[in-house]
Amino acid sequence: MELWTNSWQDPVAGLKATSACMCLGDLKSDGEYNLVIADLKKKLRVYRGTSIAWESLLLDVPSAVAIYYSEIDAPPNLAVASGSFIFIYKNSRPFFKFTLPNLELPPDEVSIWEALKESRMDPTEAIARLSSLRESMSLLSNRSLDLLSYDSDEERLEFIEATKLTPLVQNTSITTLGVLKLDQELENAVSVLVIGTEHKFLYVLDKTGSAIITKVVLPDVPAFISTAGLFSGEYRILVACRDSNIYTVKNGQLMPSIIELETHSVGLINIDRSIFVGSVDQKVHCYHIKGRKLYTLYMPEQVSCIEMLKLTRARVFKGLLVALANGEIRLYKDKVLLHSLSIGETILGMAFGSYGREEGSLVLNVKSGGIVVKLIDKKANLEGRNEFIGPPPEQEIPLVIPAKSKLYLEQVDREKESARQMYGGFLRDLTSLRLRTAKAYLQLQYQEPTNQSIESQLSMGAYVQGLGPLFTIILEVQNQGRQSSTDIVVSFSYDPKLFQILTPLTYFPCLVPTLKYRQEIAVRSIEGASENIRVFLQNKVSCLPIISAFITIPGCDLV
Amino acid sequence: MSKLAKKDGRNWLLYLLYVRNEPEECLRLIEEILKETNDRNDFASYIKGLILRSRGQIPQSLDLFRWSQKLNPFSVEMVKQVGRCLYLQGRTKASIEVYEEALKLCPDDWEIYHFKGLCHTNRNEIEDAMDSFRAANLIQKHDATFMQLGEVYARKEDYKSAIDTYLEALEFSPENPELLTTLGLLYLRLSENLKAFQYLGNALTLDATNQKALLATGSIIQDRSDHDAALLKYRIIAAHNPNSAQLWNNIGMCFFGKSKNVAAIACLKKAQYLDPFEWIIAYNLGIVHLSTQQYASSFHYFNAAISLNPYFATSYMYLAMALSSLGDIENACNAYEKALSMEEDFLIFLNYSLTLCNYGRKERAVQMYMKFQEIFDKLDAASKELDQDVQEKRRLLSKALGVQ
Repeated sequence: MELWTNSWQDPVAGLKATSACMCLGDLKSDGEYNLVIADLKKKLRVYRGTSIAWESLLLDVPSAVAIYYSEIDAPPNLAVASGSFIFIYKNSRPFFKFTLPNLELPPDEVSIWEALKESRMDPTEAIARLSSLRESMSLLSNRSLDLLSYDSDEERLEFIEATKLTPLVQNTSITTLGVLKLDQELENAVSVLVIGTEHKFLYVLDKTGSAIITKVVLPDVPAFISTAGLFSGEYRILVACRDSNIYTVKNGQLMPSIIELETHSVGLINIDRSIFVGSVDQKVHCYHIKGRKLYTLYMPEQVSCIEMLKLTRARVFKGLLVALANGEIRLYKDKVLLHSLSIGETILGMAFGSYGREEGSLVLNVKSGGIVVKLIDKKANLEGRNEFIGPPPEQEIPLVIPAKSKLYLEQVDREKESARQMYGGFLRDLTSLRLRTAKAYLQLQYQEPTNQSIESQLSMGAYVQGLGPLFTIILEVQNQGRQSSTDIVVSFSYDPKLFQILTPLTYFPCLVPTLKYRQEIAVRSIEGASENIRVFLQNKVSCLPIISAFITIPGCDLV
Repeated sequence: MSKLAKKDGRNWLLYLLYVRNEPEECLRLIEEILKETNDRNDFASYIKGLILRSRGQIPQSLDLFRWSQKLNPFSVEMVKQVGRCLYLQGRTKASIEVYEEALKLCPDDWEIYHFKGLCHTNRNEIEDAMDSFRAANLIQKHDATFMQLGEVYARKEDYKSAIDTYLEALEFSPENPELLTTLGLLYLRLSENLKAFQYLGNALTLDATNQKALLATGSIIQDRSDHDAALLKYRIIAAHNPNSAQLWNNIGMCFFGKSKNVAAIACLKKAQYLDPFEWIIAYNLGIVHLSTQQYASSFHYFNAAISLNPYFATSYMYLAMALSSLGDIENACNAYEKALSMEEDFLIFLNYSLTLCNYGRKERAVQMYMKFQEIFDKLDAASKELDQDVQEKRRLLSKALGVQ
């Protein structure tokens, strides 16, 4: 039975949003749930049913959206985080803007820049003081950090000149948003916003969204936030940071227990008292909320995002949705894989909740920019265990055994009949091979080099040009010795029936060391046969040639 | 207000793109940010370093990490990454120094100890490595650390401690198919086939296509002569990794077990094509050819097996059998003697005696037979019954030689 049915889809929506930038909520409190998507191309869009309800442009790239109730029995607020601002919309209209406070810079730093501005301080001294400030782990402004990164005095001066007139402020940007219920566990109970920032702060805003009521300093930059409990009672904020650790903030206090992952985290949610965290190494780990590891789910592909599936029926069902890089969406209940659905395309963002008037909708934003909405089958049995998983389908693929030819089989028969002769032949050949190798080796040891004479150290290169019947032999002679040689005569030995040498006499009166001498000798092929001509270099001292070479004249068609 | 104050405003997006494995887009954004900030964004350089490193450009990534370390000198993460790069470049000593530096910044980080342990393992400083891994586990337990610690114990041939380590790891994370497979393979190495089978089976229920576990399970099943079941396992591997020499070697021997000799030879030859320097494939080819009475080929394969691995006595025994079938009794005797000088196995004595008897050298044959008797009588009843063929040969031989 198919668990998911298609609700609607818009393959050309042209949106790119991560899970943090997608949420579902009843924006008008009329029972019709909307889909909010904040696109990475600075566009905020709200879908209602199958059409776009409204659209708005944003000033900066949005990092997260959230829907929360600030009062009972009133439409919820839509919060969009981008840069260091949170824009709050109500009833599809901008309501107000919350700006994160600027960083409180150390007074020393401020006074240093003050002095620099009025040229009261020497840059070298300023740098020394700033660097000692940094060593004492004070949070400095980007400007000071940049200044410290320049090595030469000129660059530093230039940087100071360029920046000293602008006022020294350091704002921070929002990396992630979370929603924490204030005093009731209901779906539309009053909640507060939890904000994680680039400068490692965690803020909790009050319910109107205008003031910070709790501030926590984290050890690293938060990437994902998940909340549990009630702000007025006991609550935990789980923060997955960029250093691949998960920290817990309990009632405003950072807890000493840390969950350390082996790799970076991709997503974080909590279901009741379990924390689920996806990691880059194709795993989803499950921890108890107090930090004890429970189990790990191993995925065949990289995890794209994770999400909670919650259905309210006779009993509340809560499961885990895992989207993989290959477009597969898996549904887990505890450790059991209940269902797997393939979209066939990488999923950028995923949200699960009510959409329209239907509970149990899964909204996906796929990589090509499309939006897909799937609806869960209401009658699906999610409580039972998955049916027995049989052997993998690969088991049915027969092995490809390399085929053997008839010839091979005949050879086998031949070997069976005459193995002894073959072995005898092999031994004989092996012995003769060894003998020939030894002979060749011996020969090498006593052989004279042929085309390089030792005494006068001449070298000769000879090659043939032409297509026939006329050819040109090109001789290149070089004296590689230290003294020049004189009176070198070139002579030939060939079959006069086959060739005729047209150049009457070739003679090198003097060969100076290292220079290359070139002579061209014209040859006519009489019969058109391919045969060797032997070339000698001789001097008058010895009757033996200094050097000799074979030149093969190629065959040709006589016209 | 400048761009300067907002220069890290898109770091969250960088992180998301990186963890979701979209390196192209991520690099594009990084270049944009680095251009805007005059290279001064430590996080962007850091992510760029990670991406380049995963592409194998280690020197470039090392430069990037060093640069981000300069921009942000008190971040342990950067120091750790510098150490990791040095480790990947094989500069383990420098890497250890970097990690020790990192420990001063952050004394209770499991990762630093873990990677320091890896460096020590690479330098063969087993004791230091174990200390580091244990320290890492004291801070927080991780599967990766357990795996490394177990491997170090196995390298020291302290198999008991290795098994204990893996068992402890399994208590901590009972469903890690990698751990289960490693433990199963370790048991297999110690010839505890039953336990090995159990752990490998568990690994397979969790990850039905784990190739290591499948190959090991298949070979255990094959050892029990259930060739069809083993072939089913091998089919799964063949679909995922069709170019594994070990796989085709095992498939070949399955067919041999089913007396499909042509298929066996075809598979073994494929295996040999894939890995020509694996002696066991040549050895298996020799055995199959011996049984198809292609003695000349068999001789060549055993010859090859011996030149690749001269320390396996049985190869010499089979070589001798091939030689005796080829009528080269002198070399056959030499091969038997060589085999016996390495291992005094009753099978070698029996076969030697048989060969000698066939060639009419009865005196020496009786000698060998006696030695065979001596060893064979000491065996317990079960192993005697194991091979009917030995009993049969023994009976025939004693009759031919006229001894009891």
